[in-house]
Amino acid sequence: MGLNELIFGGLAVLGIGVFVFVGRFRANRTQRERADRLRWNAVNKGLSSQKKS
Amino acid sequence: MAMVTVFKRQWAGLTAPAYALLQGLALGGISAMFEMQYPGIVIQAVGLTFGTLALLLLAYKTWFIKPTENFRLMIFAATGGIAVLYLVCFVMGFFGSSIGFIHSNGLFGIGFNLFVVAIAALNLVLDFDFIEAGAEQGAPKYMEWYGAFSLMVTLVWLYLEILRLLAKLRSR
Repeated sequence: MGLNELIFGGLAVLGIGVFVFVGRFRANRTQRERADRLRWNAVNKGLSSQKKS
Repeated sequence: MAMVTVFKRQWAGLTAPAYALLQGLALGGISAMFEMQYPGIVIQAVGLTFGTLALLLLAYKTWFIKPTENFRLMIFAATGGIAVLYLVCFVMGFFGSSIGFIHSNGLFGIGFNLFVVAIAALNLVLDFDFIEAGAEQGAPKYMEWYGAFSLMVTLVWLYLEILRLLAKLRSR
């Protein structure tokens, strides 16, 4: 295994590890409670279809 | 399969894994072709893709990047522009013509590719916010699959663009 595989393979494994670990936690409170937060139509549509059923 | 998932979100639990399977086959073939031409390029692209994913997730979770309406508008506009450009290039290909700079390995071609990589990466932030909002508001189960599908589509796009960028840099 060369240096290329070691460095970039390590980066890939580390990236997946960070994604899996950090993904379990909710975003920072300041991120979630911002006044200028995005409103997602797709989420709202999903919620309204859930209510209908 | 992607179109079915987009228009019939309720089916995402079935269509998203099927899309992943088919996309895996396609990406495997594309990656093998790049690897034959430039040995070692695939692991570099994979590493950079997952590195970008982790960094942007950390930046989003810690409030370093704030997706606002203006941010979304900018990313949507840029993504739409890139899609139209690629579509025009694809159609021109049928007539034996092409938009030169997109595929060139000159400074302008590499600069354009870098711009596309940046836009693809910033799309990940929108995916994170979409998933976070869905989880927070108690969206139905199929939206979990839909969120994973949207993240996968962006990741695949980012990977392909990084692969193209690295190939351009290697071919110089």
